Amino acid sequence: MNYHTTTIEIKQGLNTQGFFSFKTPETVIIFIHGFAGKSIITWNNFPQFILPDKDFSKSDLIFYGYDTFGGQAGDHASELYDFLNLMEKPLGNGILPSQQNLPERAYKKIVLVAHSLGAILARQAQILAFDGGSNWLKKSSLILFAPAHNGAQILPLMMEALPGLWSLLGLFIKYRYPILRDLDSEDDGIWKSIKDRTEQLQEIPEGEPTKAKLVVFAKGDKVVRNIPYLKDLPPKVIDGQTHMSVCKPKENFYMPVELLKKLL
Amino acid sequence: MDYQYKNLQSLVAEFRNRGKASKGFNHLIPLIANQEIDKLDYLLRYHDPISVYKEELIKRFEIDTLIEFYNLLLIAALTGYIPNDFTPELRNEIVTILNHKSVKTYYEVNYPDLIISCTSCYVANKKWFEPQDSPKIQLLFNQFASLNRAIKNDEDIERFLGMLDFVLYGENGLNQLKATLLSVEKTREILNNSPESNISMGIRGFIKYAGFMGQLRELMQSAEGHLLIQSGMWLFHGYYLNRLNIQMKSFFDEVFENIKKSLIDTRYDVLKDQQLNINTEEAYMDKEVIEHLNASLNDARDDAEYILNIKWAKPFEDYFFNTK
Repeated sequence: MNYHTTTIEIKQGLNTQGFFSFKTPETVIIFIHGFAGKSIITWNNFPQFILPDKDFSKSDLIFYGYDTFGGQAGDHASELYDFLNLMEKPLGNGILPSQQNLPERAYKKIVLVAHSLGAILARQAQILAFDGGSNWLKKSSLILFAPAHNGAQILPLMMEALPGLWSLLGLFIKYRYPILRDLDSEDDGIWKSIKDRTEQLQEIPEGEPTKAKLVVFAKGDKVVRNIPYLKDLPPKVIDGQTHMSVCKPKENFYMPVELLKKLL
Repeated sequence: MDYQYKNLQSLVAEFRNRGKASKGFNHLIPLIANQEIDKLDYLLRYHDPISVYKEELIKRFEIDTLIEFYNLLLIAALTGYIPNDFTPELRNEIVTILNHKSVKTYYEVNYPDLIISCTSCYVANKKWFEPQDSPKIQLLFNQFASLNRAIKNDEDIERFLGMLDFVLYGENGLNQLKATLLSVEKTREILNNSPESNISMGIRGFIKYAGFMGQLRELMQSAEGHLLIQSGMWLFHGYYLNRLNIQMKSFFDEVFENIKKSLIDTRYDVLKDQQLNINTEEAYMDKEVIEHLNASLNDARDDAEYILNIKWAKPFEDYFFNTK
């Protein structure tokens, strides 16, 4: 049984793809990859597991992509913020093509599922939503896999994040791309200013959605620091997975899907 | 089944009625309907002696996208994602276009691409596949479509595949790309310093395409035991994989080694800039990075060996054309 459209090309971001529910969806789940990730490949089998699952039948699924080699984290966060504003009315804003003959959406929940650098983007987008008075902020929630919101170790990230020959390209550009400085745990990157703003927001009721509902760490992660973040719920630590694999469900590792399902 | 027709509608809405494919249809149909054979033959000619440029090239890319959509339907039917018999309108459209003499010459003689012949045969002769009821296999289709989309949306890969397909960008084509990849110095210079150019895009496209072969291999391995599906997925990309096999496979090892050496030199330059006095490869590359590089190159070689093998075409060829 299939509850969703085929993969729909979305112009915003880079190779962003959506699977829209044939039913009336109440939720949209937006996946945001990390450094050098890809809109869908980062999440590996996530679509394969959730598309046939009845529990996700009333959810639209968006795999948001961006070019980590071009621009800074702040640029990508702003573009993500713009995209999330458009997602309030995906049909009217041309994200859901009219050719699919599906009705306009009125989401009750917007779930941001982010991996690694994606966590920085998602948090910054929430801050921008607060500043810009976006309606979706109060409906949003955060689910973070191996988040880089405390910075990251660059060289291990490079080698883990870029599979195969991609890593060669990554190593070439190691010193050339500002986004890596944004991430560096030794540096004064964007993550520090985001943390300061988030701390302030978490003191007021409107900032409630900035408290992540779920944070998943890979035990012994070599890339990010597994330190609890402000008032996020206590992290879940998973053994036997790496920084990159912790967000990729597979036949003998169904936990990422189960965890997500519990929060729907 | 109802949901298969829903999937079909969704596929048609996304891949046929939007963008390049619908433009391709609009180029072809008036020429076919008005029997303007000479015009169509000219538009779909081989690029030598009369080259194809600018608007003509764009039109041909749009026609290619339409034909690719028909091939995508074939893979969707093969995996049970859509019904075998599509719809009567769609079958009629496919037969009208793919059986047209000029179009047939385009994909059988000028630029042979076996999967198009298979798609044409499938629809014209109703060579329906055995029903596929494994949900796991049906879901592979989404993965397959997403992977195709990822390479379609990558400008570097697009440039590399263009070069592989005889296209010249300015004065740069496959020969210039090969010459660069075979020189450590040129590769290093282009990947590090030079402004954006067709060659730098081509090199990055080549590296990315090597990565894509790994992903295609993974996908094909998920269909282990389903030879026809593996064959169909391979043949969908068969045109470029064959071109790669013929044009580049013989010096893959050398190219991979050159990319590695270029990278080591780059690292050396970076450290030299920092005025560190370092003399040996081991000293200026972290041991872990060297190991990682070697492992990556070995994986890429394995992937190329697995994917660049024409044996994958055989099951499809047998199914469509050698059935006793």
